[in-house]
Amino acid sequence: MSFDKQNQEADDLELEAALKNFRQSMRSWSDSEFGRMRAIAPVGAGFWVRMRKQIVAGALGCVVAVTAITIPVNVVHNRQIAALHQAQLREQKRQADEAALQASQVNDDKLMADVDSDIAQEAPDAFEPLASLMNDSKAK
Amino acid sequence: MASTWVMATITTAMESMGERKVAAADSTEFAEMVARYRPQIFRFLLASMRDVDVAETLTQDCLLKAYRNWGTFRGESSALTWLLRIAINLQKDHWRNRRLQFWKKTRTSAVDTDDAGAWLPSDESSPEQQVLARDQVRLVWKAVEGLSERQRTVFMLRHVEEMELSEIAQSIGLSEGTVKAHLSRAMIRVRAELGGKR
Repeated sequence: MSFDKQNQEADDLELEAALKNFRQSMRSWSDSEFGRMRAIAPVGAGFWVRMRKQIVAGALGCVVAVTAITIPVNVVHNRQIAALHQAQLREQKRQADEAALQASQVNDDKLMADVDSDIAQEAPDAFEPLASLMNDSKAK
Repeated sequence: MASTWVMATITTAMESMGERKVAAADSTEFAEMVARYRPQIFRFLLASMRDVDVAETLTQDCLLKAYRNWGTFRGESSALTWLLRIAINLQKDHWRNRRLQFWKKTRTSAVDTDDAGAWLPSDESSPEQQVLARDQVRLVWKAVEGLSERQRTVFMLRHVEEMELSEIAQSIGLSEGTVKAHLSRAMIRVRAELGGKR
């Protein structure tokens, strides 16, 4: 047998051994991993897990929706209240000004009437005896 | 047991997608097939992807697809060949999927060739033989890493699943001659890797 042929045979044997080891290695790795493949949750449990997730998702969705609606509504409402308050203040001020104006006018008129009345009623001491006659003639 | 679990999962998945159930008799037949071939499908995908999570997911996808098409399976090829064909297509889709290109590059959960080679049955061989065997396995993994996708598939089906060339040809959908050529190229690479260590 030639040296080359012997070499070739040795190579073939080694290749065969390597492939056998590779196969065994692959099989033992696969068997090991297959043995501890992830446990699949039972259908019932899966249902409740799904339901729970849906409930949580729904609740979160509601919170977000309520927040998204409430905040702008609240802002608008606050603005409306502020505007109303301002309008009320303005109205009160206007009414107070008007009342003050009217009050001042009334006072002046009354005062003038009183003054007129007082002046008319007043008589110098010298004419005191005649004053009663003046009244009497007025009454007639 | 395990097949019942898988069937329950598949049935639930199908129902959630609003798909019809397979007839009870067919379902039993399918469950038997799953129990028989599931480990082999998982092993092939694990060897091809070197990623436990991906292999698991693709195995489930493969069985789901098989369940969906069980009615169209006419038995022209063996059930294993049919399942492997589905698995090979899923594996191709997995790599082709553009969204996964990033993962293809990073391969975060993929096992390193050294780690993959560490799996050896602890038989009666001596520690020296164990070291030698581990080294050989590591070199084969190294060679496999450099193979094209098709060469790797052919190599795994031939040397891990020990399938005949005709079965491999049926699974991949190629002629026997093409399969032989792919296998030959793969073997040249493995031989070179093993020879290069000396």
